[in-house]
Amino acid sequence: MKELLEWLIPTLASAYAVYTFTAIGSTIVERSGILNLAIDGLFVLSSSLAYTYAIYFSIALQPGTLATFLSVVFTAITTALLYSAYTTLNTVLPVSQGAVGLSFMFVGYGLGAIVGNLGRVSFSLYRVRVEYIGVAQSGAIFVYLLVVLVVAVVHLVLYKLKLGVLVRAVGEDPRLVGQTGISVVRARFLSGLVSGMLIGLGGALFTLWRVGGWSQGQGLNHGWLGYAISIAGWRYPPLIAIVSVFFSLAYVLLPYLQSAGLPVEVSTSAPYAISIAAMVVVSITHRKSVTLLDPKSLGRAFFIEEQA
Amino acid sequence: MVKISLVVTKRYKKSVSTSTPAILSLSLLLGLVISYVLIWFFTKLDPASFFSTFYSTLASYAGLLEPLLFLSLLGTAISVAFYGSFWNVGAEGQYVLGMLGAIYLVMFSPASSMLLGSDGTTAGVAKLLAVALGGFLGSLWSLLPGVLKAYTKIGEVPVMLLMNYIAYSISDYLTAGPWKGRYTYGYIRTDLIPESSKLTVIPGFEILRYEVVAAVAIVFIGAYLLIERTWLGLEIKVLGSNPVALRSSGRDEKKTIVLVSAISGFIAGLAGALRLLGYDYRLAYNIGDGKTGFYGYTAILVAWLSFRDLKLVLPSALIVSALSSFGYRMQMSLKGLLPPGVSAFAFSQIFIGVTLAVYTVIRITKEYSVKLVVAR
Repeated sequence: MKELLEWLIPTLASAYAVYTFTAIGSTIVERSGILNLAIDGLFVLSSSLAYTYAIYFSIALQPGTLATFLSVVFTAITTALLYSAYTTLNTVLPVSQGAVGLSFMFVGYGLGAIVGNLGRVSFSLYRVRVEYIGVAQSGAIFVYLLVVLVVAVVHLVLYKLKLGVLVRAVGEDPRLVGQTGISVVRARFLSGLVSGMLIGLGGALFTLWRVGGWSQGQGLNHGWLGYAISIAGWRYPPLIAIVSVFFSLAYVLLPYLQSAGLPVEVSTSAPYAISIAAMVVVSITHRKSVTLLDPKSLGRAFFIEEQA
Repeated sequence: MVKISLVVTKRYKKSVSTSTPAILSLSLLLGLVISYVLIWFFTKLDPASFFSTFYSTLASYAGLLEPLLFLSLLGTAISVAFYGSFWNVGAEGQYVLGMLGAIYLVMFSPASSMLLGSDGTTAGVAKLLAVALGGFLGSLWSLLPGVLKAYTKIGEVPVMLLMNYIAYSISDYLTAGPWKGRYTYGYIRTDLIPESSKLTVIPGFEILRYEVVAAVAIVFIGAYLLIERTWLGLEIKVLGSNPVALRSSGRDEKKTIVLVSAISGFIAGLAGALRLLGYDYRLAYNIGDGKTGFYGYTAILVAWLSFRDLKLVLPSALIVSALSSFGYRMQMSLKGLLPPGVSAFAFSQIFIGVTLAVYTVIRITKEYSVKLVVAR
């Protein structure tokens, strides 16, 4: 039992951090009314960026903690910029959010493959050693605390501060918010920045901590897993923090569940089935709960005569 | 201080420059140019090699026929749903379910030995039933999000995307479990379907099958007649353009949503069944790892390019077939010019994604006029 815990606590910490950050990021962008169908492509791209940044920084600076730290930071910044471009495009023009999301997803897959391969080519030229993240059992406790702290801060901002209330108001009725003179574009740009930063952080930790390397296609479907957690947690940060424990646990214990006789296909598809069930439950039981229901303008093209 | 603003106004007059063919052509051209710039940034590939390879991809039409047929079928499936504002992004899952239905009927059902007996006289019936079962399963798979949308107002897009992964898992479970083959050389996959259940190759065109070509024609004409000549088609169109008017006229909006989801899923399932009987002949494990060619996703682009105009499905499918084949052709013909490890997959995804994004943006000029205003 002790051995199992020694293995499980740090392993679960990596999965929990990756999927919770990704799910919370997706929640912020969707609470602002932007359908986040770009998530899987941009998660794949961020996990590739983290690897290539890590190779480049390790060549330029020396392999070590600083190089790894900088690659995580740069991945988060790059993804934040991409996400803010995504949310801005979806707001300044009355485009189909579904189509824009899918196109970002496709481009993310493609660029992810190119960017990661560039890192791999540099690696084979310079044979540089990357210092991947490793956390011992004692350090894992701080990771859990950090993740919970981030969730608490996001919750506080979204539900208690003026800025967060504005972001949610934009998700409910952007036209009305726009008519009061507040810039919908700025609100969504900001939510794109924060979401992208968190999703980029998730992608970077996935490559530099959870996997510890890169291969083409890495991260594929893991963005959707974050999306599924966000939906199953009803896009409500405290619930997401709880749901994410179960999803991450199921994912980490996958090999054990398999050896215990549970078909791998059942455990891999369970998060998706649970997410759909969660959507049905919330729509039936909370028809009037603004806190848990989908934002009213989610996925709807935004049109206002003049946009700055 | 300089203030830059985008002025977006509703457009009430149509013009040639905003006609669908003009937008389609411009999107393709701009999509190619932007894709090239993106690829150049990472690979420094010269423009002549890039554009001449695209031209040669279009010129070698034989390689485009197979993706063209399946993208046309799936594009039609998704387009029919688009008419009713039912965003069928789950065609990939319905396509997989169609494959499962077909292989079940010709290999694992009690009827398979009876219909595909040694004389093979009833093989035609077996193929027809297999395709019908594939369509039926695709239809069932699409019904769930349809019913959820109609009766609980849950958006179909996230539900369908999540269901695609469940469909992959069902296929993998059956392929590695009860349907696992005995003659597979160690690979996890099913055995090949019986020879008599395979579709018929058109002599001289090894890539074509009579049944698939016929199915494309029947589905295309059927979908056109449904949308343009029937009450249901009219209801679907009104549902997509003005659902309030549909409700006000006393029609059952929920029933129309459910029906359109079922019809769209049936066509996608039918495409999956034809694919299995005509080309794949077996199911392979890890089907979500590109073994479907991601046609269900790629066809979304076909449907978008031909938005609510079935006549444009075929040309759109041709463009998308060229875009997805272009990546593979580039990898083959520009081998020495590209950095090692840069894959056809990457190129295809970029072409498809960029073209879809460009089209989505340009398309709004059909309904809106967009002006950039700089004021001091």
